[in-house]
Amino acid sequence: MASDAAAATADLLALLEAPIDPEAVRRSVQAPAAGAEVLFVGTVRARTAGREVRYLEYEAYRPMAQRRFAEIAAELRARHGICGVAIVHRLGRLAPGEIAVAIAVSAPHREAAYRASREAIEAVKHTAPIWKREVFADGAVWVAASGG
Amino acid sequence: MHRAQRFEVLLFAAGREAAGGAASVQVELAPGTPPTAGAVLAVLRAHPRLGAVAASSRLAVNHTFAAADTPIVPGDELALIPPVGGG
Repeated sequence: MASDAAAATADLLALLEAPIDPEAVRRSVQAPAAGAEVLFVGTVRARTAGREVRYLEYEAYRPMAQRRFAEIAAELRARHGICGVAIVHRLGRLAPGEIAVAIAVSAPHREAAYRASREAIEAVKHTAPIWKREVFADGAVWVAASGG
Repeated sequence: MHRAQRFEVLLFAAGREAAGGAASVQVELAPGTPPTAGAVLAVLRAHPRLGAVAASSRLAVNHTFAAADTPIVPGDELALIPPVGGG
């Protein structure tokens, strides 16, 4: 059966080497049936555990990450009845303050949108094959996902 | 099966770094060893340079996390996945 949600364009799921435009990510989930849009933007912290971060390097196993994004989007749609979802992750070298990830979710009501948004970022952090290397003035370290 | 079975495993992040920058590593399973994701991971965990990273890594087969008993065949795309942490 045709519905506004079913008629929506394909989900924006991407790995980018260029800066992320969060407003474009949000716009991609706009839908007539949506009464709420939640946009999560993850940025590069200037300090980690008291050390000054010079820059971060993100790397991905692209085909698998792309597939995980699609699976995560499908799971969110099945569980939360959302209208749209977008997951965009940056790769390469990022300076403090830059956007590393943007996730947008739209739903008829805010409760489902908030829940799906939270689940999406946790799933990306914990299951997408994306790695982050923090580079300090005096060394570098690969960082695994933690509680948040 | 009496011949050695060779599989290429893609490396990323800490895995590639531990291998001196190599994008992949060849894994040879002993003749008669049932070819599974777990068997490949066991070889990598005994690897002199990759062992430490492999100890906390999972194996992906054709872009999906594999269980230890997931069978593998020549031509499958294998990858060593160290602890992830995007976002």
